[in-house]
Amino acid sequence: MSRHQTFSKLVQSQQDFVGMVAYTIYKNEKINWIEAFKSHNSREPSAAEVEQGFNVDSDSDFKISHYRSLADSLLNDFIDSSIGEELRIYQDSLKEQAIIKTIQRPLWKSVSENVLSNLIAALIIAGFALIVWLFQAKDNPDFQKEAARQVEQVIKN
Amino acid sequence: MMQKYDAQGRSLAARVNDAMMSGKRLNDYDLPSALKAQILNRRYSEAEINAAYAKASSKNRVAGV
Repeated sequence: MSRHQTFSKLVQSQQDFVGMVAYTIYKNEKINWIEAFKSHNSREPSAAEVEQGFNVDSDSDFKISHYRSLADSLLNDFIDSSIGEELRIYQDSLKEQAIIKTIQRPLWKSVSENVLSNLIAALIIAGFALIVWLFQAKDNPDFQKEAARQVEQVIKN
Repeated sequence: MMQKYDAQGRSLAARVNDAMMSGKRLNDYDLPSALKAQILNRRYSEAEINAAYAKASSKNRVAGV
């Protein structure tokens, strides 16, 4: 039986999530070590070779601290991405709500907005037509005569 | 309450896992830079992570998950 106590040193309780992630990092390193051994020696390592080559210091305080530190960093990356993903969903939901709100606006609001915009458009066109008419009328001799006659009539009365 | 599952029925954790496996990190999200910096500056300690895990796992036990 193996004498190393990596699991019990890494995972201190059932609630030690960081330790569980740290153990998977340790296992991944162990698999990588075995794969490297196989490709170098063209055979599986024996239990004794694994014990001497890989497990020799895997449960040392330094290594335990190293695995936990890697797990902590990895978990923080995961938490950051989770917050990013939640915020992205929240952004999308706000956009959807804004679109729905725009589509489902009350009828009176749409009608009053249309009436107001049409009124403004009519006023702009009327103002523009008046300016054009006045501009043309000022150079018209008939208009000038008629205007003078009207002014005289007003003075006489 | 935030939507927990997407249209394909994947949980938030599964989506984040997929994102991380494809190399996507917080900086790749279309979020304001100041907000991203704020999130990145907040580091969770082992104790905080384990406490959150204990809380979530006890909640799941109560719910029978």
